[in-house]
Amino acid sequence: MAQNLLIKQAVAGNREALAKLIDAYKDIAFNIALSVVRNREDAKDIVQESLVKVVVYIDRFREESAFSTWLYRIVYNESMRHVGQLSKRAGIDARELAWTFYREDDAQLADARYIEVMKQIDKLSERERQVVILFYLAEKSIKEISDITQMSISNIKVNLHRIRRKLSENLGTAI
Amino acid sequence: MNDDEFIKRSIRKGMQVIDDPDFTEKVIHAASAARSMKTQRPFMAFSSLVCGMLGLIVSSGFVVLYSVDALPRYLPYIDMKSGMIVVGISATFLLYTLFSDLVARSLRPKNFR
Repeated sequence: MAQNLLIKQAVAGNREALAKLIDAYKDIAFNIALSVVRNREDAKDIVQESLVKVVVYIDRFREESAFSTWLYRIVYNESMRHVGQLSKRAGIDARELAWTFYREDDAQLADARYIEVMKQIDKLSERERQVVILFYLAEKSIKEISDITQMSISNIKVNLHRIRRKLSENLGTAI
Repeated sequence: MNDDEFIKRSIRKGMQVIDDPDFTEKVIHAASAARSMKTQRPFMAFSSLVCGMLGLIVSSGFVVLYSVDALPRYLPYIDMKSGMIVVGISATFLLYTLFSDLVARSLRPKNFR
């Protein structure tokens, strides 16, 4: 309800409402872009471009889906387009493979179970990682993930099942 | 704590953030610039199309008038060469207008319903 009001205010050109909307979604959008392009600067640019488009065309938002689903779909499509362009230019998958969830310098890494989860997520396939981000971080339903990624619902279910199994197997009693 | 909840918590803990305090302002600024372009562009495109066509018609008229020896009587300093240059500039401007409009259409984002 509050979100609908924010969107209406944003459509009317309320700067404060726009800023609140952007602040609410920018970081999750950044993680979605990051899970596809695996480069912080590129991901940031993609999120910025996507948000600009969303703000410019916000009056076209039909409320058939959640605002966040609409935004994440744009971010996802932009990210995939960016990766496609990179691959075409370089002739290979030119993404920066060094980016991982697990960061050595992260002060939060005191928790061993957390470290394990991060390491296991880094071992997942690209598709699985995108599903993880959308399902666990963006808290999207399977239907919404399907809308965003154009993956079939059964495919997402299979992926989720596989992810849970992999994490449970590898973490054992940690979870 | 069940598996899903633990994974969710861990991922939330490890969530990356955009480390730019001016990010939101930059987006709003870029969006308002893009918005004004969006509203002004059809008018500007139409105006430049009209200007281009008028330029083409007027300069073609000059050339025709000159070719039938009607022009030198009134404007003796305009010769055929100058007329052709004006036609060339007008035609280039007109083509540029049409081309830029076509390019702008092809670049329109496809993500929007």
